Amino acid sequence: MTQEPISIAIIDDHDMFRAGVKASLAPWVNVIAEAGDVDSAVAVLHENPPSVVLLDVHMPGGAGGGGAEVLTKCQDIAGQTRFLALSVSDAAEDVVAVIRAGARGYVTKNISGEQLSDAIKRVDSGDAVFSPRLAGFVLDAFGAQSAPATHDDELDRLSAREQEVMRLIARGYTYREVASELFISIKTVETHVSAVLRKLQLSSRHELTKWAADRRLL
Amino acid sequence: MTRLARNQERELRAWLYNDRSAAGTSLADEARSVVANVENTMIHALGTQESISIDLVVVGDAVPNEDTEALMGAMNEALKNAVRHGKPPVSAYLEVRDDLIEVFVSDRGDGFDLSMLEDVGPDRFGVRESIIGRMERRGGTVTFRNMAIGGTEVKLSMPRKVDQNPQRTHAPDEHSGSTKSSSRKKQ
Repeated sequence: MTQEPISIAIIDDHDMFRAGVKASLAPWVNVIAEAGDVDSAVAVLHENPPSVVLLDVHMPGGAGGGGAEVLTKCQDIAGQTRFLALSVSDAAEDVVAVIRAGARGYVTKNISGEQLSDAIKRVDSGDAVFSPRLAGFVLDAFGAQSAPATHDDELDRLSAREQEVMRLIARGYTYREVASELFISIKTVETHVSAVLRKLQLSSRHELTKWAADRRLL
Repeated sequence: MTRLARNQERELRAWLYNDRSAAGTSLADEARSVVANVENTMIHALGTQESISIDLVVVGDAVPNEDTEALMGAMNEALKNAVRHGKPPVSAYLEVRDDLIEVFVSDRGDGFDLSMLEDVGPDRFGVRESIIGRMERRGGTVTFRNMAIGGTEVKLSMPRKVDQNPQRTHAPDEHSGSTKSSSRKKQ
């Protein structure tokens, strides 16, 4: 079964990086727009909303909010467009800020073209994409060893299973490997990951906001 | 070019995002140094043009001590092995918990086999001594397993309070997928 084309936009302030990404993506990924700063990104995304946006966390312009600001200003197209953060930065507060602004996942720039195309496909179909680093942040923020949530809908803690999945992803396992390790289906892994993403986005857990701020202060 | 960029990026990130903790106070920082060192030195050791990129994820932190020094030494050796004998991506995961500290080093190569325990690296100490010996002398354990989808994962576990009980004899097997557990020598 051939893959249906997916339209994307690449938002990053390095021309060479954008060119490199374009060249490495699968043929069914259709790059319909690019931009290098906050204001042109917001403009171009509204002109012709793509299905997925590859968004760098750091970028000049606007009010200085970078990728998170682009996301915030694109809430009105959030129904049709999904954002995937792609960045060199792995500073916790930046990653968390972009997820809480609405990104469906975060991957680092040393990812391969194949993995990136796969991540685009996942985000397009509504799933979340976690890099090992993001999984690590989640465990840090929610407390890897705190008592697990007893109900899945508790926003401020991870369930035991969610902690297990996050730990394996942090160790570098792909979703397939996680599924194999825990004897569950890939679909179930995706469900857990999406649930964790939702908690990361919605939790008013004091630690999430305070901890991100703390990192800057030391 | 990539290696230069990675090192500069690392320095800039450390400067911007605080990794300015005083020397000797952060295990997480030490782990990052170990990884950086392996990335930089293995290029020369392997005589390769390609850059080596190790994905390190850290959860939690601790003040270094002699036990963590052994853990970092073992991690250093495990990483060099993964780069030398395994296949990328090479991942490292450090988790600090209340009762123990764990490091997982994995690669996607052909998997672990027992003959590797006898492998003698350029420094002539071999895996058995440089990884297992180091860990066990401080009361830690080492587990090697072949991953379901291919590749090797080395788990290094260091309890945070050294177990004084001389009767403990072996580290738990992960599950039926493992090929070898290390055993602590009886005193």
